[in-house]
Amino acid sequence: MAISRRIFIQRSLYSGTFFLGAGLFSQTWAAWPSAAFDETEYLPALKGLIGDQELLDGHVSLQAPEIAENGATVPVKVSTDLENVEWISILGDKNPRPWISRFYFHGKSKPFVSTRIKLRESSHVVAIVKADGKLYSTKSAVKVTAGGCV
Amino acid sequence: MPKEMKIKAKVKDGITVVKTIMYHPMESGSRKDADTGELVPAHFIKNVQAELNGEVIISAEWGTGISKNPYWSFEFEGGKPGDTIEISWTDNLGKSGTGKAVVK
Repeated sequence: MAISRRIFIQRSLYSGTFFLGAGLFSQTWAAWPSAAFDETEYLPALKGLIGDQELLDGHVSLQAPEIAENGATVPVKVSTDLENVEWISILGDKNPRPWISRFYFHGKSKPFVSTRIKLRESSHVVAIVKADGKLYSTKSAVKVTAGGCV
Repeated sequence: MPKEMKIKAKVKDGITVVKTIMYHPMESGSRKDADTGELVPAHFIKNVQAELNGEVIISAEWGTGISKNPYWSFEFEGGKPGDTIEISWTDNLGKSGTGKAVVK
């Protein structure tokens, strides 16, 4: 009896914390999915991001340099001709933490991202777009001559 | 006070282009200090959002793979000169930063 009461109290505390967190972050900040971001291998990180959903080809444009002299700052641009884009995500398949970022689009924003990322070594940059519930992706090989401190 | 952010926003042919640089170390936690040889603690931006006239139009989750002093550019439709852009971030240490610009 004592154990079950303790578990009950623990669960109550957890759910209370959960609801408090959800309330604070629901309107402005997206939650930060730490398990997927902390993954150190590409495929588990990818699975943490998209589960078992199929990745389709086409519709995603990814601009990244063929050769990056400095892996600490590699410019990437992602855009798409798809409508109803929910998010764009960027990964580096050889990075110590492969999942780099995800951008959610609301209102009048265009489904476009331009940023600079770190690449530890020569690898693929992967861009994934979620639109109308479907996932589209493309990748680009980048040769890194001096790795970024990632 | 050190400058936290630089933002430029310009409308052309109905598309507003916003370019920003946020001054932040973006330490991954796996880099060693060149002098001491010790790991530099992780310190990186986790959440970012951009508001147009007070309404969130893009929100983002970042990991440690975004470069130091992050550069970010985005675009939106229907902006006009005088609109306000506000960009804000929070990092893994609970710190936050914000910057504002007026669309030109």
